[in-house]
Amino acid sequence: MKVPVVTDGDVTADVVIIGAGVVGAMIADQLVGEGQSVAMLDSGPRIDRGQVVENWRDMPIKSRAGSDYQGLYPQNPYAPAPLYFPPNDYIDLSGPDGQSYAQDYIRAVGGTTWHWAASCWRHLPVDFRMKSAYGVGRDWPISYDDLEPYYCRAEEEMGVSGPHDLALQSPSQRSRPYPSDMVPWGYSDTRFARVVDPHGYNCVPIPQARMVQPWNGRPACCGNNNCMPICPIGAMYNAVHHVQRVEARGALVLADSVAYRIDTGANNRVTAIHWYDSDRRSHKATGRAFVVACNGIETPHLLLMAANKMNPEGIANSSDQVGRNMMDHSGFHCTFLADEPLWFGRGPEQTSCMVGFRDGAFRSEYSANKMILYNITRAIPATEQALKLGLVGQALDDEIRRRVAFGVDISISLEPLPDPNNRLTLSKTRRDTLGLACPDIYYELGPYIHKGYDAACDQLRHIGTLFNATEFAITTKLNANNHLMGGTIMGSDPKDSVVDGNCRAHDHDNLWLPGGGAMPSSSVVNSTLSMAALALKSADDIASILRKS
Amino acid sequence: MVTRICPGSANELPGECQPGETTLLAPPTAVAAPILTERPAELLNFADTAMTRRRIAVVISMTLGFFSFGRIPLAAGQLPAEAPRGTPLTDTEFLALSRALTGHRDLHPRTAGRMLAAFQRTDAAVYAALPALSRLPRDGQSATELSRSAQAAGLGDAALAVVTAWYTGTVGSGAKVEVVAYAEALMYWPVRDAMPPPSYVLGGPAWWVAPPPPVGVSGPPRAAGGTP
Repeated sequence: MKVPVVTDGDVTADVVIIGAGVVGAMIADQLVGEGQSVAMLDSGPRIDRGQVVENWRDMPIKSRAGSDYQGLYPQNPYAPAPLYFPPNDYIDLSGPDGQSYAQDYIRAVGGTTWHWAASCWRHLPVDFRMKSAYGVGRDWPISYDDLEPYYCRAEEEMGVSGPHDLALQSPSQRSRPYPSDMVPWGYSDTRFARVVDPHGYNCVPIPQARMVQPWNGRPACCGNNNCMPICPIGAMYNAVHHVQRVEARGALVLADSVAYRIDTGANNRVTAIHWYDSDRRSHKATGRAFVVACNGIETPHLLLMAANKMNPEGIANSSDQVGRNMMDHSGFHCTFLADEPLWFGRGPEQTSCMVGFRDGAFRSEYSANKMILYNITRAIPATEQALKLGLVGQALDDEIRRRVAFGVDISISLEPLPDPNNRLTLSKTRRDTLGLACPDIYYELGPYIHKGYDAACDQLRHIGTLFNATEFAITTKLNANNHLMGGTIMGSDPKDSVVDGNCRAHDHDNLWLPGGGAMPSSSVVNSTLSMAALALKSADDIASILRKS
Repeated sequence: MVTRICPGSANELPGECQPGETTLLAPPTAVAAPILTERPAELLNFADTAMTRRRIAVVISMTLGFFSFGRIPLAAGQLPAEAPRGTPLTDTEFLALSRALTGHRDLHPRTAGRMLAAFQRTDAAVYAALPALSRLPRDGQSATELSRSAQAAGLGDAALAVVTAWYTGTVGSGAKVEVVAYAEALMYWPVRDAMPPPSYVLGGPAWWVAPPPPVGVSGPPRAAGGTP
């Protein structure tokens, strides 16, 4: 077992990884398995699951109703993440759609897999060829077939349940089956699918990183209906599972360690990364290979902040694309009361999704969509609505039961195109507690999204008629979905992209930037599985290079 | 399963109260037994989905575990205290008022105490209105009738604040806000046979595959409007 060497607080390892989320932890696991010494730094603290569950239960109703999935997580005072109840304004959002980019993410060991919903979607093969197929966006320098084996491995690493039935897979091009069959549907999913499927909406099970039987030391999902903001029993995949595994095998994991400076040397290779510990003392990590996997915002943020003499516009930024092409699935919600009880809210929070408009020739003109049947209990909104009706006693209880049983909430995701104008930059005026520049993000969604929104609204109104909906409503403000993509975009040309098909920086032979930032197209599906697949592909690249040297 | 909370005992001792001591029913536990005994078909449905006998045992024990969340141990120093002198309402009076306003008999005295103290700290207007409000309830009056009489007396907002606190578990708003209950919040009760308060469970793995309970209420009125 090869372990990092620590001298006076400085670290030397074969591989230095910044960010202990799903991407960093999975790479660490692969490289520890290769016999490499691995040091992993995370800017945030270690999380105590039980304490966070208690924090959630102690949050006021307004925060819980508003889905405050940030406020319950402890933060390193030196590594802020966005807060909204009340806002901490860590990120300044501007542009016509700035408020649609108000993201949730966690800076902590385990990263944002603490409060994800564990949806593990693959991109479609055509999602890798948006420019050639539809004349919009960009092509990836790698194909679906290149990434497919890594999708399989990522699903196996995370313990994904997905449909064995080919007809229910999206996409169905697979070389290996899911590690476990789909999380079984309850009445709500089955009934909803039966009503909408004859009309082409194609309701399928969401592939998800949880199982209904114990798996690899993980308990079975018991449907606590609390995936976001915290699975109380650890049945949902969390990057801490990989973190614990690598620590047991000799990896060094340092929490509350904020990377801020990157040294480069001969041939512009990275020689060291510097960080501040929780006492604000600076240390450095040296190694042979470096990985920055902080997430789609903090990775470009760090690269820009770490500009040095040799890389005056930022690390890995000779293309000027670091921090550009920021993407996230633009979201909105459709709610209504059906004319029959459907009983959403039983089981895990997301179990099925309509993918009938995930792809089609229309994508040359406007955005595809996916429509998730939200399975979060409607008790809170039902109660708020029922109280507004002025009811009390049995009438109030009946109204709550009616609104929960008959209520539907559909969460729609649209696909933004990469646009260099949607850009993260360093604030010239705002600094964090360490004196480091805070991120600013400009965001503007063009007609591709707005036309896609209109098309989706037509589909939703039709779905509403299928259920004789009342109180039918569609939100008009697009919300963020916390799927951070594009900021360190992948491409074959170093002039207009930051990383290659292995997520290796064009500018630095020994620096990898895997994760959502590398993704040149967002599809309409949650990005985590693609990020994990890219992580494993990077890990293979790193391993082969370290073996050679 | 009836849980008795014995004032003065160091721990919650189900069924072991000393003679002469008051026994109080902890609300969520009090509803657990009827649901399990009155709805045996639901458990049989679990069996129909090819669950093993062992898993049924797990379902039952976890269901009991869920419905036991409100069993709050009352140690000697934690008994519902009467309000200190100078405050407008005692805990007992506030509990009686809460029962009348919500129509729920099975509210927990300790939660009532916490809620009253939270109103005192967070909402002076509601707190000041409580004595007048507490003089309104009449024998045999429904919660709806009491609500109307509160509105007629200009106390509608205070009445709604108390009802809202019991349903949401939250008292006050903005910077002056306190959480006094989570799973015990009444908003989860009307559907407690169908789904747990989030983070709790209603059964073992894949419990949600069993059919949902009969809805027992009418559908949304068609006249409500807002059609697609």
